[in-house]
Amino acid sequence: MKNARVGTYVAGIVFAIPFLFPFYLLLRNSLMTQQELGGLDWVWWPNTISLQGFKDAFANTSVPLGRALLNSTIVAVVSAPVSTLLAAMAGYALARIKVAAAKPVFALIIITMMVPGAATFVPTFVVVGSMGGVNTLWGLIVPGLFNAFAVLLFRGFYLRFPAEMEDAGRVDGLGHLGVFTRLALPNSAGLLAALGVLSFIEHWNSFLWPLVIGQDPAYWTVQVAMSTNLTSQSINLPALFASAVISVIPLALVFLLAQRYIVRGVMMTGIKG
Amino acid sequence: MSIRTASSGEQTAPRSPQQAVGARRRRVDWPAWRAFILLTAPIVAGLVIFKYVAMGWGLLLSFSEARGTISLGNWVGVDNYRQLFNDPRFQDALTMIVLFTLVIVPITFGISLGLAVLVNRLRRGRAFFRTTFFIPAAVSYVVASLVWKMSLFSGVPASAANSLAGLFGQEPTAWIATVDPPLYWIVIITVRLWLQVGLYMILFLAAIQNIPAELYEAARVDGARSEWKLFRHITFPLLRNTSVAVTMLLIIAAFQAFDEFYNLLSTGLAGAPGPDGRPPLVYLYDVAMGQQDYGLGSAGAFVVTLLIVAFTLAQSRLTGFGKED
Amino acid sequence: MEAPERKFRAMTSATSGFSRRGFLGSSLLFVGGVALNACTSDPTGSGSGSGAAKVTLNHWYHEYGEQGTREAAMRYAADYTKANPDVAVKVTWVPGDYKTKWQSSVLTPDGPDVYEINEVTPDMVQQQQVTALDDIIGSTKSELNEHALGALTHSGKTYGVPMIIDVMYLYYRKSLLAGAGVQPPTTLTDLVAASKALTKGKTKGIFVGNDGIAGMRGVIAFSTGQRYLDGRKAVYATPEIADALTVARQMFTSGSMLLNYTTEWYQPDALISGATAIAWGGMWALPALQKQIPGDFGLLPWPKHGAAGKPVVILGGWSQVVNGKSKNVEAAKKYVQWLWLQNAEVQKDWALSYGFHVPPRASTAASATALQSGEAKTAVEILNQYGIRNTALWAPSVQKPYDDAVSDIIKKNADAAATLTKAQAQSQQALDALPQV
Repeated sequence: MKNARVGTYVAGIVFAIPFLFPFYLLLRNSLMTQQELGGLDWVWWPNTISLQGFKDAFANTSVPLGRALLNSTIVAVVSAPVSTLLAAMAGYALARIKVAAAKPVFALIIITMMVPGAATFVPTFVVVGSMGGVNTLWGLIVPGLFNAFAVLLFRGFYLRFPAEMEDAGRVDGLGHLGVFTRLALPNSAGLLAALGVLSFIEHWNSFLWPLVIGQDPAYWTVQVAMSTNLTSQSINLPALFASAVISVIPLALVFLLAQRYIVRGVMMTGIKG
Repeated sequence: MSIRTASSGEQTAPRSPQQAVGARRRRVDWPAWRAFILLTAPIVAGLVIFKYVAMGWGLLLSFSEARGTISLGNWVGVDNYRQLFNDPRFQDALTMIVLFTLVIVPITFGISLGLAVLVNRLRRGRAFFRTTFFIPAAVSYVVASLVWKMSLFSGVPASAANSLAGLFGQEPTAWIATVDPPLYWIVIITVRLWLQVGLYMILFLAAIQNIPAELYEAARVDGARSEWKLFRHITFPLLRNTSVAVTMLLIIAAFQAFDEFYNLLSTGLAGAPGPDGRPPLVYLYDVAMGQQDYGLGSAGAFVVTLLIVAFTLAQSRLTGFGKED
Repeated sequence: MEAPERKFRAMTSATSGFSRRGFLGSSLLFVGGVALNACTSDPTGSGSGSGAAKVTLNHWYHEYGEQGTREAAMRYAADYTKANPDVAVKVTWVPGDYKTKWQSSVLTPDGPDVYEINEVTPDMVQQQQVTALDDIIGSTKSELNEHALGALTHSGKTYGVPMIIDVMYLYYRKSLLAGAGVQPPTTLTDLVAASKALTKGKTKGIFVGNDGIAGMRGVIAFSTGQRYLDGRKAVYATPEIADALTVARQMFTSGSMLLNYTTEWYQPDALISGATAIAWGGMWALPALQKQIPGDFGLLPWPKHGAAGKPVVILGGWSQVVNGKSKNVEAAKKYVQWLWLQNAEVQKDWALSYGFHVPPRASTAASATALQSGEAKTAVEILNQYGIRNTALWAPSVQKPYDDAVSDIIKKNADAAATLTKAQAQSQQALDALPQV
C-alpha cells in the first residue's frame, strides 16, 4: 500500500516535468542574450542574467508591445464583464419574464450555438468589414460580446431561483428590472465571476479574430504582435520570449488567484478560449 | 465557440397548449414587455447582426464572385462550391483534419483521464499537481507555438529536442520542416496536448470526486481488489456523461484548429503554411485573406460549418447527449 | 455549481443592501463604453502631423529589416508636410505578413491611401485598389527599369512607381568553400554536390528558407531557361522543370539543407553564424555582410540546369501605388510624385543608405557610387546579365497550385511531371478567372 502511494507520487512528478518544462524554457530564453540564444549548444541557464530582451521588447517600434498590451487589456477588460452581463440580462429575462416572445427569442439565441464561431470567421469578417470595422477597436471587441451559451447557463440558473424572488421584489416595489438588478444579479456573483474569468482568458488569448480584423499594427493584440514577431524581418528572440513572459503573467496570476472560479466555470461550460 | 454541455437539454419541454391559450387571453403586460425587450435587445441585436446577417451575407457571397472585394453583386451560381470541391487541396485539408481529430481526441482523452485519476489519488500536494497540470491552459496558442517552434523543436542543435536526441548520438532534426515522415505531427500534437489536457483533467476530476465512496467500498466487499478493476467497473462507467461531453468538446475544438498550425508552420513573410499542415481553417484563411477570394472563402466556411453541425448532431443522436439530467 | 437556493440567503430582508452591487454591474458596462470610446481615436500617430493639415494621408510600408529605414520613411513624410502644410502623412510600418494585411485593409473605405506592393494584379485594378499614375510618371517612364514597370502595367497603363529594385541571388562563405575544396557551383547538379560536401559538423551546405523551399521555387523554371507564364498561359509543366525539381529534391533529402533555423533566408544571420555555407539572399543584406564577415563572402547567380539552362538572378522590389478608393487620390498622387519621382535625394537615400537596393531610375542608379565597387558592383553586373522576374499575372491564386506542387515534389517525392501537370491546369483556371484590364 505504501509502495503504491510512493509510486503515485513518482508518477505525478514524472508527468509534472513535461508540463513545467515549457515554462522553464520561456523564462530561460527571456533572460538570455540574442547571441547566447542563437548559439549551437544547449545551455541550462544563462551565464549572466540579461534583461536586454525585456528592454528590446518594449523598444521595438515596429511592433509596439505597449500598444498591443493595451489593446489586449482593453479587449479583455471590456469583453469579459460586458459579455457576461449581457448574457445574464437575457438569461434573466428568458427565465423570469413571462411574455409571448420568450420562446421565439430563446430559440433565436440558442440556434446560434450550432454555428461554430471560428469556422465562420470569413462571413463575420465580411459583415464587420462592410460596417467599417476593419482596423478599429469596436471591430475587435463587439463581435465577441454575444455568447449564446452563457445565456443558456444564466437562464437555467435563474429558473432555479425560488418564486418568492418576485414576491420579495414586489414588496419593495420593484419591477422586473429592479428585481434583476437588486436581487437576481447580486445573487449571481459566483456564476458571474466564473464566466467572467473564463471570458477574460478567452479574450486575452484569442488569436484568429484579432488577426483577421486588426491589420494595422495599431490594432494588434499582444497575441497578434507576438505571432508577427515570429515571422518578422528581423527576429529578436530574447525580446520575443520576453514579450511572451509578459503576456503570460497576467493570466498566470488570474489562474493562481481565481482558480476556484475557473474550475467552477470550466465544470459548467467545459470551454476555454 | 460555446458548446452545450449536459445541463443544456432541460429547458426544451414544449409548452402545453393550455398555457399557450392562457397566455394569449391574458391582457398584454406592458411593463413586462418593456423589461423583456430592454434586457434581451442587446444580445438579440448582436446575434442577429454578427450571426444571422453574417451567415446570410456569407451565403449570398458564396454564390458571387468576390475577389478583392466584399460586396455582393457578381452572381456566379454554385461556381465557388464547384471550384472548392474540385480543389484537391481542400480535400486534403478535410482529410487532414479528420486524421488530426482521430489522433488528438483519444490521446487527450486518455491523458486527461489518467491525470485526473492520478491527481485524485494524491492526498498531500493535490493542489500543487492539479495546478501544475492545469496552468498551461492559461497560455495562448501563440506563446506555446513560440516555445515549440523556437526552443523545444527548432532545427538547430541547441533546441531541447535535438539536444536530447544528441545524447543518443542523433543528428539534429528539422522537426517542423520534415513532412515525410511527418515529424511535424509530433510538434503539432504535443503543443495542443500541453495546452488542453489540464482543462479536461479538471472536468474528469470533478466527475470522479462526485462518485460516492460507498460504491467503491461495496465493490471491495464484493471482492474487487485491484485498482484497475475498480476503475474499469465503477469509475469509468460512472464517467459516461463527462466522457461523452469531453469527446464532443475535443472534436469540435480539433475541427476548428488554426492557431498552432498558423504559428508553427507559417514560413517567413509568405504567410500561410504549405500544403502539409493546412487544416480547413488555415485553408480558408489563405483563400480569403491571402488570395482575397471572399466568395470561395465564404463557400468554404459553409461547408466546414455544415460538417461540424452534422457531426455534432450525429454524435448527440448517437449518444443521447443532452438528454440526460 | 452551488445550489441557487442556498445562495439565495435572506433575500427578502436585504434588498436594499444589494443595490450597491447592482450598481457595480452597470458601472462596469459604463466604464467599458468609455474605454471603448476613448481608444478609438488614433493610437499610434507616427509620422508627420500638423494640427493645421486638411488632409491626412495614410502611408503603409512593409517592414524593411535594415536599421534606420523606418526613421527615414518618417523623415520623408515630415519633410513633405513641411513643404506642404496642408497635407499630413501618417506612416504605418507593417511587420510580418504584409501582403495579407494591406489586402484586407484596402477592402474598406479607411484603408491606406498610399502603399507599396511587389506587383499590380488585374484584380487590384478591377477593384480600384490602385489608380493609374501615368500622369505623374510622364516622361520619366523611359528612364525606369522595364522589368520593374512590367509588373505594374496593364493595357499600357502604369499603376505604380518603382521605389527600389531588390536583387536576389546566392551568397557563399569563401572560407568554408575553400576549406572543403569546393568551387562556386555553376550548375544545379554542382550545387547539390557542393552542398553535400560543405555539410560538416554544425554547418549545413545550403539555406534557401526554413521550409527548405521558399527562396528556391521561384527560380527553378528560369534556371532551365523557361518561364512560369507565357502571357495568359501557365507553361511550367515541362520535363525540364520537372527534372530540375527532382534534382532539388535530392538536395532536400541529402541532409545538406539548413532547415528550421531561427531566422529566415532574407536575413543574413545563418550565413554569418556559420550555420550554412551557401544561402539564398538579397542585395539588401550586403552592408551587414560587409560589416560582419568582410572579405569572406562571395555572390553568384542561382546555377542553371540542363542544356538550355540559364543562371538566375531574381529582380524583385517594391513599388508605390495609390489606393483608387482613397478619399484623397489627388493629394496622394502628388505626394508619391514628390517622393519617388521628383526627389532624387530620397530615392538614393532609400535605396542605398540602409541596405543595398538598385534605384529603378537609370540616372539615379548611374550616379550611385556605392554600387560601383566591390560586391555591389558584382551584384549589379549579374543583375544586368541574368535578372528576371515574373509578370503581374503571377497572382497569389495563380501561384498557389505551383507552390503546393513544389512542396509535394520536394518534400514528399510526388511524381514531378504528373504533379506539375495537375497544378498547371489549376493555375490556368485561376489565370482565366483574372479579369481583363
